[in-house]
Amino acid sequence: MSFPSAKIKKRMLLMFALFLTMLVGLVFRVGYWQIIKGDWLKAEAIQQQTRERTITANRGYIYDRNGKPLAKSVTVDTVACNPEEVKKSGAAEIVAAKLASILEMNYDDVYKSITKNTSYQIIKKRITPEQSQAIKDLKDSSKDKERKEQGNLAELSTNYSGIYFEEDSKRYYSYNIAPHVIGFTGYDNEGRQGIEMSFDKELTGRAGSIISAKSANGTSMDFQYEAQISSENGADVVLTIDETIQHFLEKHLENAVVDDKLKEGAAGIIMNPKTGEILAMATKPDFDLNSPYDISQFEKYQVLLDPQEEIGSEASAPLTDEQKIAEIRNKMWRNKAISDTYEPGSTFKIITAAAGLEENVVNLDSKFYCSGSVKVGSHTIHCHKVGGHGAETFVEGVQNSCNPVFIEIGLRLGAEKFMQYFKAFGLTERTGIDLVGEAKGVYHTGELSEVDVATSSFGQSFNVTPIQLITAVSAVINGGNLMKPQIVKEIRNDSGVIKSYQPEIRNRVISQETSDTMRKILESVVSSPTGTGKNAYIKGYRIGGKTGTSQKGARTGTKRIASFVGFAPADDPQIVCLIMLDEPQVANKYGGTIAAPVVGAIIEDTLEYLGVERQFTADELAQMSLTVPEVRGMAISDAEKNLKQSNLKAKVTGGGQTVVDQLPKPGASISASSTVILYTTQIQGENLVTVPNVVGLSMQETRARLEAAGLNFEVIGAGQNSSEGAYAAKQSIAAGEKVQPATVVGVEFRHSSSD
Amino acid sequence: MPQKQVLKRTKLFLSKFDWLLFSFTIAAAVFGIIAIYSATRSMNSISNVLVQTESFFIGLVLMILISLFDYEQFSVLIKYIYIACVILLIIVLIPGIGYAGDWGARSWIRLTSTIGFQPAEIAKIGFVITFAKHLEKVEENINHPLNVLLLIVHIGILVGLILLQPDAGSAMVFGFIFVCMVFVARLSYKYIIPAFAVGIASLPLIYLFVLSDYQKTRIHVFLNPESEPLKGGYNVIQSKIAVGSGQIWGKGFLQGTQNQMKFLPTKHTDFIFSVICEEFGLIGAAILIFLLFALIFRCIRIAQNANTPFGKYICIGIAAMFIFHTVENIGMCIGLTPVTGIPLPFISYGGTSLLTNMLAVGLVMSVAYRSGNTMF
Repeated sequence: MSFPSAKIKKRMLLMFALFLTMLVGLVFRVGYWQIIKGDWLKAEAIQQQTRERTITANRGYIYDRNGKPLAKSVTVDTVACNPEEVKKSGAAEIVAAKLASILEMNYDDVYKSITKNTSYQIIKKRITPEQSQAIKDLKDSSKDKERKEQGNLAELSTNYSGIYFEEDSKRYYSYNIAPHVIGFTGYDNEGRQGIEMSFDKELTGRAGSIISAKSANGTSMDFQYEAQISSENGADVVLTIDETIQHFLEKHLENAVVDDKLKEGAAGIIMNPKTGEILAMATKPDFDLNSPYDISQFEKYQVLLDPQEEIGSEASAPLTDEQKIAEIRNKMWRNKAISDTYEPGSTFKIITAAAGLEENVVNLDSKFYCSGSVKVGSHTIHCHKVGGHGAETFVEGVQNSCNPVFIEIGLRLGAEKFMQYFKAFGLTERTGIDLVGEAKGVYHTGELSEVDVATSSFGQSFNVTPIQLITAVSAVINGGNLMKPQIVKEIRNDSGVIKSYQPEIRNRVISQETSDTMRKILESVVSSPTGTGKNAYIKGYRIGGKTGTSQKGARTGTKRIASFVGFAPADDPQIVCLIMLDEPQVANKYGGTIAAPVVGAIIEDTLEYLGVERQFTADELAQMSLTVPEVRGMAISDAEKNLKQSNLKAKVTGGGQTVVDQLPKPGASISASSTVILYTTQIQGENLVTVPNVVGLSMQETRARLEAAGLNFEVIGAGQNSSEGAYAAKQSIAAGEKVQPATVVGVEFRHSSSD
Repeated sequence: MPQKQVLKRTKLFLSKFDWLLFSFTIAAAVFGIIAIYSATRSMNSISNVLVQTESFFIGLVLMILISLFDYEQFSVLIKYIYIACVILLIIVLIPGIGYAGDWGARSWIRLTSTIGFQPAEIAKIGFVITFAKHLEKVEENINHPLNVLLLIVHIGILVGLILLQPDAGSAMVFGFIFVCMVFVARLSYKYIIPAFAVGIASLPLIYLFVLSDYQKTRIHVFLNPESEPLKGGYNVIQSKIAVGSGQIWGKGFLQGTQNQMKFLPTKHTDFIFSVICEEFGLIGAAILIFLLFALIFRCIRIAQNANTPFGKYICIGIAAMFIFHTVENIGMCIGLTPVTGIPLPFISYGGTSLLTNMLAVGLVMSVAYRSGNTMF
């Protein structure tokens, strides 16, 4: 059969070829989407087909060492919506307007949220209970009848069916203490500072989620699928911090900031020298943990301390410049105790002395001579005491904080040994404390010249952080162990302790014997009437310590950091406390003058709290305050006898034979040999007396002036007030005030220190 | 003797019956029913599967009967067939008799409240038969202008009526069948090339003046699916996601999430191919395309071996119909061609469509039965 013709066959073939090409094209196109674009399109599919809801895990608490909850989590509502449902209600404008007014948000933002092309959208996180209630009222269908009757169809609850709540947790800091240590959390409850940040993983736990299938019309679930990953609550972190001790530290630092007009604030650390546990750590001024972004509290101090920089409109007008606010916040959040590096100055002499004793280049009786300056190579280095300390022993050198003595010790040690100890005391590396933002010191890395050794030996020409220094000092006084400072005691969850932190010895630095000797020497710095640290003296407690005054910035400038490191009891230290006062704006900026009494007061509060008993010396007992006895109703002569027994004087007013009244009243605290006025008639509109100004006077002068005014006085605060050179620094009742006769005026004495 | 004759006839039947085409058709239709089952599962009803299965069995009987019927017998009925087609296409236009389908065109005639058919589908077969006969007659002198004109009138009346529905998709099918048939019938390139050129040149004019707004939107969406994600573009975007997320092996039967979670529109009809791609992956899609290819290739083979020009042109016309449907539907699912309501032959849900297609295969088998070559 010749049919069909060749030509027809050719045309069929052409048609077939065209068809084949098209099919191959189709297969390639399908393959392109399925293979090359497959993963992307699959992700698209999953994205539009699933809805994921998060179940937030409860964030763990932060406790102090005694179980006080410093950071808690409270459950609050987050308001979210399903824009698809809102769309169905057709009342997006009304809903947005209502919500905006309740939530104090911008109408446009709310409208945008609730009309977004998605099925899940958060409107506002962590709303207040009042806001939550207001929205619940809107959703309350039982009020619909009423709304209908009022013709208020726009506000029917059905309009709000797409709006719902999710449980969320909010951080609440019940004690509002130690903000720099605890830190705070951000928008998603993530830790932003301090422990909240460094232990974020432990505290957060694991959020769970519910992933469910979502069909094209958004709601119905024909293709059932739901997977739930349950959440796991965060663990609790127990700090080594003691809330009470922290409170003492913060209180005293805050006072220091005001008293000494500290331009750059103050920082302090209290540590258990034996274990390295941090009992308190503070930076002042600080911020409110419950509103960590609020700079007003901090700014108040800035204005107070820095009047010059506030010239212009800024003092009255609030800051609008976001950058400036951010800068202030960063400064406000800075944990100076671990993030600041400074020249430790004389406090470092503890390390030099310990190294010198350990290496036997010096002993307690070594003789030195201070002429006021010493020549090292071609440099002349001065002592802080103009004219010099003259001949002195090593111990006296430490008490005097004499620079030439330490230069000599440093040079005897030599560069190599000096650096060996410097390193052994951990000053070349971070301490590794579990907090964010620990800085690293700055120190000589190459070969040290003689001048380098000389300046380093009395604490200049290198920088350390407060945490490094207190850790090193702890090693000197605890028997020679360099501990790892610890801020966290344990981590635990519902089932118990997960991780417990044990004291960790990083290094053994000096011998027990050297350590014992150092404690005695440092105690004498405080207890000796000529010691530079005598302002830290507290009656009944054996305190050891060392002053420090560092220059800041240019050597010729007047910026100073006054510091003091003290520990107690000196024979068996329970605590060691370091404070640094950054840029005091007062006349006497020496650590011995302004920092030592603060440390003394902190130690006194802390030891009392810890239940360490006071042991008074005979001298101290003689100076102790007395309690005024009850003499009312007694015959004058009996009363006088009674007072005399109590080491008090009596002064009789009126002509009667019986004591009707007395001033001060029984139970008042008063210093020995004060006068009690005995009245034989009722006190009636006694003439008030004016309190004189006693600031700057010696103790004798103070007593004389107050007695002349018909007043009594009592010594308050730290310091060796009986010894020579003490002057009144503060009085409890301001000069010029009118008070009853014989009122007790508290007076705080200080010594003028030159270091 | 009669026994012997029965045996002989049976033998003849078995040897002349086109088993290959028969198996391809059954395979494709079964594949279709499986896909429809999956595609309609989310509607909680198997009525579509039942309708399709019923149509399949009726189609099977019709197909075998037609294949045994001598297609040459149609020669005497040509006029009536053509007139019947014209009448059907006219009465569908009468409101009350013709009803609108999914796409808004008045293309359905309802027999009862549930049973109906699309005249255009039936008319395709009618046209292929009448036009094949027409071509056979003018074969020797096809390039005479008068003959060309008459051929154009032949199709023109039908397409004109279809465009009145308006059913542009079906009109395009007729056009494609026409082009393929006259092409194979050796219409001179002198006509083909200018016609092609004029066709291309007139596209903008057609777009501007002929197409309705909804047709314009479809073209626009086809070129830019992302521009109207919630209107026309939605279908294409969802289809693309369904196809792509199937990847090589597919998500598995009944596991296609785009399909089961109703993201995919008209998935048991227009977008059945996307369902197959999602659930059976590239492998399943390639098997289906190959199956349809084999079926169409078989039609062309039979055309080559046909006894008469009439038979040959019938086969070519039917092959052309399958080609257009297949390419346009798959192309639409993967964004290569604009969305039209053209079903995928044998696969898409639709009783009329399946019956028509099986009828068409029956015709081709009838040609095969009477061709010179036997299979075995």
